[in-house]
Amino acid sequence: MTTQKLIHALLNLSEIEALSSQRHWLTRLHPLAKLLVTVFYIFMVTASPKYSLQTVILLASYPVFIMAATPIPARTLLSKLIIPAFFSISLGLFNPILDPAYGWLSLLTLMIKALLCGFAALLLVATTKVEDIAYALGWLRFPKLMTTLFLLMFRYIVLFINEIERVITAYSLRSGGQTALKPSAWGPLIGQLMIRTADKAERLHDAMLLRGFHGHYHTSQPARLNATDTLYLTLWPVVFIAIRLITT
Amino acid sequence: MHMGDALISPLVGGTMLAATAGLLTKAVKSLDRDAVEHRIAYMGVTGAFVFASQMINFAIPGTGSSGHIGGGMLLAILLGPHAGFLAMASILLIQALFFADGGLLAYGCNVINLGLFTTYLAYPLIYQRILKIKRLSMRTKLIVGAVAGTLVALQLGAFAVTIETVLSGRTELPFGTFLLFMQPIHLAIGLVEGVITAAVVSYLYAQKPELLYDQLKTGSPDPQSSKKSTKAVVIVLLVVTLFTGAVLSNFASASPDGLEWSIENVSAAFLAAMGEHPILALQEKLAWMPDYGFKSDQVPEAFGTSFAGIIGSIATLLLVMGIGRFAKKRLAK
Repeated sequence: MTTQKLIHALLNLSEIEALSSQRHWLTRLHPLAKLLVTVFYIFMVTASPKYSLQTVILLASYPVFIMAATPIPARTLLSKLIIPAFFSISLGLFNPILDPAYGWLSLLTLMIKALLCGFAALLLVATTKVEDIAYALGWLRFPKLMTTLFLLMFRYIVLFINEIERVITAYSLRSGGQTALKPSAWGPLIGQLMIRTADKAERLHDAMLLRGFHGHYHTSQPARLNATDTLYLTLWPVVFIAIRLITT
Repeated sequence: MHMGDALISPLVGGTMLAATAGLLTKAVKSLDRDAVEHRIAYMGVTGAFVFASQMINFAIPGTGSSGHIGGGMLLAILLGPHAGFLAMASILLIQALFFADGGLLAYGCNVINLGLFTTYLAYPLIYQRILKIKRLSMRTKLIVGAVAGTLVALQLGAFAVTIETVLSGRTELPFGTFLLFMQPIHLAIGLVEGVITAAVVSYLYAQKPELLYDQLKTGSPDPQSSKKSTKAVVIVLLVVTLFTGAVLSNFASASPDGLEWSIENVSAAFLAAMGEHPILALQEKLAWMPDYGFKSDQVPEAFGTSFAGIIGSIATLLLVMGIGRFAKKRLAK
């Protein structure tokens, strides 16, 4: 179970990274334009009335258009989305019981909202490299330390997932197929991993210093917003607002 | 305990994002520059390690089920409150973006629920206080502190989830029922997470105590001790602000305040005329929170018209998809 989860997480990250490296019109757009449109879209989806199924269906135009106009495989993104989206609205499952008249309608709207919001976030990372997302966050005045930490962590997560997967497989082979750690192994196994992590961090820090690290990464900054970026950044919010005006 | 975007209203999500922005700035400023340069690799790698560790299943004896490591409390114990908070915020950002776990609008809520309560409340007020008790052995103090800290942090987090969800008004769950549902479940979860955290911390104390933030600092004067009173005030103010914004505002009087009353009486005719103004009509349509009403009560008046609208919406979607396909072919050329 644990190993499956770890492998799934690894596949997830590698697939998203591969998608963001593809070359098409959306990956070429400025990361800031894509981030701002995504945030505004999520805002519009969550702000739509809880019984207005029409609004959320029409708001689906954004991901539907992007999926249709780019080579991003919809199935890949949907497979990453369905389970987390279902869990995220689990509290809304009581709506039909507590509101017999319109509970199903509000639950259906909630489910679509969860899918749309998740889809928007995944579309952003599937079309924007992680370094560009960090740049866009920096432009939004996210602390520089946070963006550096975000980048560092993103790179090292893959390494640790790999390492933990190997450790859990070894544990499983020595304990008759058990993948859940017994209490006697809780401290020693995770503790040992943590000690190795600290050693790794020290080596990494030395390597970073040797390469001239002074508190943050130096990355090439994307060019300024061009006409296409500005059009993208203007057009979608207009569409979202128009949908809201038409349906409410 | 991650909250998704769908269950959050823009007002609640936006308020929590603003609070998170303030907390991130405070956390960054609280770390001195040398510490940042020397410890950023450690912070990033430890954060990545905790992220990956969250996927490990820990068998709970006698139940047949398994638990998980929390993350927030362990990060605070390893990195200290400020760096722990920043690491937790980074983990939550990666989860929201790459794993559809949580959401961008709900990011602030998740940072507050899972990061603030563990690193800035449970760690200094429970864990560190317990470490100062003189009669107990260090190992006992570490275990009791980790369990108690995790338990309290999860209870506060679950309480915050309840408040944020109820204020958002996306579910029909009444506050009392929801609270009774959330708190006992998170008491059990907190206990399991606390014991796992305590096991790891206790092992590290025996093998490599310098990895624990408090042990690392033992014997060295705290360079930030002079700022403690200011920090305490900031934290108290922040909590009070959050509480006021999240809870008390819900009880705001529905009657007009003095200023509104005066305007209403003095310029009734003017306001009546403004009511028909096209800009006001537009604003009414776009209003996310009309008159501070968190709960949306726009029940569809007639299902018939709504159904027709839905069919129309789906047709529009198909049209958009067609346009997209056409655009793809054109752009590929």
